[in-house]
Amino acid sequence: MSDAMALAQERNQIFDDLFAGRIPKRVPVSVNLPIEFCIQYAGQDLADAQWNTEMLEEIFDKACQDFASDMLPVLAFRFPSFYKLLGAKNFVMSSSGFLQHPEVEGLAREDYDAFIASPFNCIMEKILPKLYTELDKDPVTKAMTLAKAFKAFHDEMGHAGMVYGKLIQKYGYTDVNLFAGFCEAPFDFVADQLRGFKGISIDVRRMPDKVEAAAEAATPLMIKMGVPPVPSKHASTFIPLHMAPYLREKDFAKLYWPTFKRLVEALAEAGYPSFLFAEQDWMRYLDYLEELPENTRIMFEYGDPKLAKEKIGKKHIISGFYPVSLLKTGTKQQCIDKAKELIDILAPGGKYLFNLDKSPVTLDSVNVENLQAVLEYVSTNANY
Amino acid sequence: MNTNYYKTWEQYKAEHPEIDEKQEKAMAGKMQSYEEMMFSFIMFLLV
Repeated sequence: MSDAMALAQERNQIFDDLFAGRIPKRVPVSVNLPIEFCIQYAGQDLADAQWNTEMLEEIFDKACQDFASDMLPVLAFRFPSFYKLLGAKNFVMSSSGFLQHPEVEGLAREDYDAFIASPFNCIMEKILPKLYTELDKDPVTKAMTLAKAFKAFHDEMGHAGMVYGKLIQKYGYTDVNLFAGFCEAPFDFVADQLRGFKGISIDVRRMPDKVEAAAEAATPLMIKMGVPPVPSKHASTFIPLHMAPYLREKDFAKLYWPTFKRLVEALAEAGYPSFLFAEQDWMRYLDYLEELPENTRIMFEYGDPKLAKEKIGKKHIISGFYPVSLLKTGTKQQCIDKAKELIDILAPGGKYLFNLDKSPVTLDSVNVENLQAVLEYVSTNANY
Repeated sequence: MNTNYYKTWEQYKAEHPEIDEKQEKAMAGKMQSYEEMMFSFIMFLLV
């Protein structure tokens, strides 16, 4: 057996134990380095490499060589080709090569009823043409544009998938994929690109019944989107959670939680665990999270790791909390000490995956040597 | 799903009575997979 295969076997066992609630040999390590970070680290041009994706293998390979992780540490899924073909307003590449996500409103306030009546009809007829200018043209142009974009999407995703497979094999990573599926909490789906942050914040106060009905209407779409054809415990549906920390608890309880809980339960029933990214501070919602199906995988950004461990650490698999900001401002020793502190709090009893509180978006988000030192420290010292 | 833009195989078949049993066996999976791929693509554009 090759070294990489032996390593993959060992790592798979660690994740099997983690997901089964057994104490693994050591704390597993994961880091998510986005495409922009990897391109800059490889010294390549952002725009060039995102358009010419044949460069990705070499770019990602360099990140895999230099950053310790049990799981493939690189990820890219937003490519400029299909967004540009569609005339996207929601994902636009800046002159520096970053794909920006401006505040958008895909669903006009007066179209709530159309969305509630048939969300997918409303998406096709009203929302897409509002967000994608090339889909707001005559039928023939629209058909041609959609065909080109669909082809570009599958080319880019297919190529990226092939690169991931090669790197997983080369470096002996676990086959665990926390991003195998992707969907949103129904409320967030309505908020993010349909009503926008500003629009939904007003609607929650002025027309909560419409918001509630729209989240209800979006739920079957999110369940369908989140359930993959082949369920696996080594895979998860990634659900980034956005709006809850900006809501009053009574609005969260009525408008956000019921459909979100139903989504996570439906995925679990289909044999597919969710990987939640609790963005911002979710500490006041820990009792709600406790109600989710056992072994839901939850990554936290901010908050109190002791409280999270105490309230949900016996039921769910916790990760995150490690402040990316410290990797920028701290000394190497301070960064390692922080990792030790979090391991002491979160590792006892298992159900803990080490990773950062968010992805370092750009190379200058961190001191690279600090990041490497922390990953290396945890990989080699966090034994049970 | 209540929509004009996504069809299950059964809905598609009902609109195409010319499809016989032998053809159906050969084509149903592939035809439905394209329906699913387009659904996934459209939804991806909004997340």
